[in-house]
Amino acid sequence: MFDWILDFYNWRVVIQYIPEFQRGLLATAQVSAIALVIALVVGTASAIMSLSSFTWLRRISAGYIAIIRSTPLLIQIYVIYFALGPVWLLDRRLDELEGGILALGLNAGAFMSEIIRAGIESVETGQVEGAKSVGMNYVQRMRYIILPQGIARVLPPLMGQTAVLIKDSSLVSFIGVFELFGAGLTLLNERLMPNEAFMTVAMCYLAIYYFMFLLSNQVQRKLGGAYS
Amino acid sequence: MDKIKRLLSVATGILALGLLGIGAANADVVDDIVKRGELRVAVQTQGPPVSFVDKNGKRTGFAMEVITMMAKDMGVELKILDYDWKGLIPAVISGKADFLAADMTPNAKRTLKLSFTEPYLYSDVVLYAKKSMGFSSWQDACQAGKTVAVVQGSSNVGLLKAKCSDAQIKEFSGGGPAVAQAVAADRADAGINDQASAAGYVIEYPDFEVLDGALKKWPLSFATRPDEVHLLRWLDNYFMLIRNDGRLDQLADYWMRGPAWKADH
Repeated sequence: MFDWILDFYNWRVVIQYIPEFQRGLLATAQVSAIALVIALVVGTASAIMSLSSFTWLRRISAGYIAIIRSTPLLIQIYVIYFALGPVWLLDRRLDELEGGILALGLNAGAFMSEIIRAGIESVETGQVEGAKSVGMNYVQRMRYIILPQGIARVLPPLMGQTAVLIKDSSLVSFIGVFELFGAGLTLLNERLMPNEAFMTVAMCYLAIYYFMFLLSNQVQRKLGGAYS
Repeated sequence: MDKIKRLLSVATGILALGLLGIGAANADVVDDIVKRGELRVAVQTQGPPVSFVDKNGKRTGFAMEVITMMAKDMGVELKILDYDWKGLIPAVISGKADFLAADMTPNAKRTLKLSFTEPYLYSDVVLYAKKSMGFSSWQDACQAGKTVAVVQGSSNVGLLKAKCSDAQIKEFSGGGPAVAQAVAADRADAGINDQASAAGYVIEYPDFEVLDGALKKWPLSFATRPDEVHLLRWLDNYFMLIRNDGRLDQLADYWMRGPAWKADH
């Protein structure tokens, strides 16, 4: 029934590589998920810093964003992996997985910082004044009033940045992490089948993206229902 | 239901994109080469000594000199198509290039998809490491607790798994130079490559040495689309000719069997 597909996509061969693709998919999901958490935390912190009334906090944030946005991600990964010495607290050099995740997270964090800042700035001053009038301090205002509304509004662009992050995660293969693209490359190298290799990789990325899409819809429904 | 439909349509789109890459099968590509007066060859962007850009900014190397000679003897122009490893095979299968000129190793499964020429050379696979590691033979680097770096997905991955399984194997994409970089930055205790490349790294990084002994001899071939019988016979015949008149050995001595080329390029 599906034999006509074999002409350009030999799934009989792809099936033999399911363990590799499973391993790659898991690694890509793991790298992307942890990097996303780092990106959101760093991005939110940097966004808040960029709106602070302390000049030096604003400068740190601006410097971080400028450095990350002006250099290629691959260079950032190489610098963190090859050039960085032993790290404080760990007392050793980062391994390829840690280095790759950190680089990806810091990279996406800079882009997300600008998105989140736009979200925070979109919250009406009335909301902030209202929060002040019921006696909320700065942390409480951020936590209960400003961030939930601000982030709910910029969820779609954040989702777009997340998709970029997931696809960028294939660059960690340059420092020796075996991920989804590595699995496709194994198939390509052993069987010389580019269609099977690249299309399977594409479909796995599509599956991850679709899962993220559903997840962000859930989040948006939850936040949107309460705040918009 | 709507979502499933949308997903299906996207999946179909991806498959359709793949379809575009297929086709382009002509009766006899040798005829085409003569008619168009141009030989189109895919080479790999991979670093010395097979195909690389030298210090004068000129693309050169063993494979480049062989195909330049080939086009001259055919009496046609040469068009170089430059790909990294991921692009090399699609370029040949889709018909963008007439054949690929690289140091590719034929094996039972690969030969199902491409036709390989008779090997033009057999090349030793060796390990290299920093002198300070104190290794003497390759077996010293293949012990538990050591790390050996290799080009991701290359034939050498399987070779390490078979002969060097006690050591941890780290795969780096980005080709041989990226693997050498990993060894230089102490991210791996040793690296694996063919003898010619390893000899190149020893010159580039003076604190490197090539470890004694070869893990294996790989046959190196060019490859065509599976149905290009005439072209394949032409290539085999050409290798026979230049082997007989000594030109193949001359090129191999200069490029592949030692670092002689380093002085000029």
